[in-house]
Amino acid sequence: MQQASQATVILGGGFAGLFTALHLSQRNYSHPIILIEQRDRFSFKPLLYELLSGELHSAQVYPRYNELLASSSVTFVQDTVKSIHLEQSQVTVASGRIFNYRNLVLALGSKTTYFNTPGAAEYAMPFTSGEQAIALRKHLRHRLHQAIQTSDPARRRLLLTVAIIGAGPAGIELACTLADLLPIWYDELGGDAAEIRVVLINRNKEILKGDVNSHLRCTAQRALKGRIIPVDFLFDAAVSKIQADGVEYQQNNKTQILQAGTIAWTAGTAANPLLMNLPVANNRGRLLVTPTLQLPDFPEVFAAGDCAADSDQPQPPTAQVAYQQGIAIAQNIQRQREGKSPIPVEIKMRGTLMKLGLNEGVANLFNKVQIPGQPGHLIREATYLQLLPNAAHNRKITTEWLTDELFQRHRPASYMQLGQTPWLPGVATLAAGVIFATPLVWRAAQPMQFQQNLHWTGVPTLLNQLAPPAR
Amino acid sequence: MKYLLNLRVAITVNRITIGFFFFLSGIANYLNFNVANGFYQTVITQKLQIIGPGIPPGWEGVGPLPWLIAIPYAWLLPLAEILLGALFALNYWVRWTGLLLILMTFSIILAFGIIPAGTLFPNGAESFNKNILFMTLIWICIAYDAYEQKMSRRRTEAMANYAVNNAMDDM
Repeated sequence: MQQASQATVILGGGFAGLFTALHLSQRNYSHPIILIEQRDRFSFKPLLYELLSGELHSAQVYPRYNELLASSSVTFVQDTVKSIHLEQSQVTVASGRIFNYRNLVLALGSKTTYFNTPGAAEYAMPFTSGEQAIALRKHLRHRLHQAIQTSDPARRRLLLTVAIIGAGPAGIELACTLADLLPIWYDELGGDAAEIRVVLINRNKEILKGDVNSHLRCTAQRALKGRIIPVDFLFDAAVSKIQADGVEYQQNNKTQILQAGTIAWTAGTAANPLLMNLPVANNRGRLLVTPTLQLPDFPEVFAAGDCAADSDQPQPPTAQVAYQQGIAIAQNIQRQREGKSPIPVEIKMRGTLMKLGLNEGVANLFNKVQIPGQPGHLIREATYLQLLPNAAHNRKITTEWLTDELFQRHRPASYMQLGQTPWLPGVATLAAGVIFATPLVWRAAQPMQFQQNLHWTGVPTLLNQLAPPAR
Repeated sequence: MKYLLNLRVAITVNRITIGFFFFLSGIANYLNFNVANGFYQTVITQKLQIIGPGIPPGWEGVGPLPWLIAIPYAWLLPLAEILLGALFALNYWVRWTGLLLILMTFSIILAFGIIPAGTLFPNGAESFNKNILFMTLIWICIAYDAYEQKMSRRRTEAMANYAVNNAMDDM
């Protein structure tokens, strides 16, 4: 099918692609906007742990593109990109349709890579999309149900062991979440929560090595050990094979096996293979772009997110970078259509955020101030919820989340189970107490002024009946 | 009956009662802040004493507190009672709010004396505060006794099961 050549085609519906589409639409962009994505739902990756645990639900962090784009001028096409022809300005999809474009946005993200580890693709569970988060939740629930029905202690130990491969931010966040969640789930089934084991396997001796969060290492390590079930570390261990019920690894030149009923893979990502075949420069599959996020030889083509890299100003592959790049590309495409020159993108890093268990996190504001614990968790969730696409969806979800936090509804685990005090309702109580005490303090300090100013409310008369003022 | 003998229910009711008592006490202290012999005058003029008023000369205690301490104490104590009482009743940071409430109570005991003002000894003067606290504390003891009995029955059953299983294994 031949599309109008004025179209702007966006490949990939992750943060960069979706935000480009939405912001172009919001700018009353007069040309067709086509978003091509193979999935029907948008995965809000930083909050997938909440989807796994049940702290947030599918409609909140795994919404359908059709709903997100309903009030926009974006045409959503659910299909898989087969080939990109930059010279002909054409994109072909799996169904055979061909899209001609005037502007192209490459936001295909990255794919999970298993580094050719035997058995990894078959038995390890990746954790990069809403679909995978739901699959992992079902798998873990199933394992717990199997364990509670097993009388063989060795079999139960296997079923209750979770191996997480990779100690980057995703591995740590997943380990912390599961080390809080699984004991509660298993306890609710009537099992002994102390039998749960969560093991973090890492090739290096250090966690978060080379990551943008590396300075949060100490906080993360403390959090891993401070969960309901402390996370076990298996470091300096190179995974050589993955089996249905265990992980084979090399440590100190010895081959060992960790028996585990669940194996989660967070060890690495690689560029989309489609991009490797393009006739443009790339750095390990990440397309090299100018500061305006254009391909140097194809100025009508923009690239952003995990699949692009500006060698002068390298950015970490995070949601907040992709989100800002999406907005900048929308601006630059419009400028280009108006005959103006695109402007370089300025990424403002607001710091980093990590989930370190149920109701716990760390917010590293502007890489200067670390706020751990429940306040960190609240800042993290509030920040990410502000990044939800589509203003109406954003308002609705933020309101739902705030009321759920305040009234402690829809929680996967009660604060009592976690040994915590709900921070937000606690602070709200303090604030309410101060507001309540203010007129009483005013009456004690300035009785006459209090009587005169608040006479119309009837409050002074009511208080005088309880205890007459002295002055 | 089962509900009344539930340890968690008893402790929750105690916590709410004690928290609410402090909350009300804070309000009352602000309402009666400036009346004659009211809260402010008491804090500013009273001596710190182990033995309360009406005690022979030489036993009145020390003080009153210097103004620098007494004035902020007088203004902030009722506020602390309101805030900590609310937090304690609603189960927020109970360990810390409880500790602060104990310290506050101890400071009040020091300020007013143990004998005979607040009086732990019966002296014919009825005390609503004291009685309601006694009632809820007694409930804790009853519920805990029920809990202990239940645990004891479980231990006996467990021992009996163990004995039966061992005997079966021996056969």
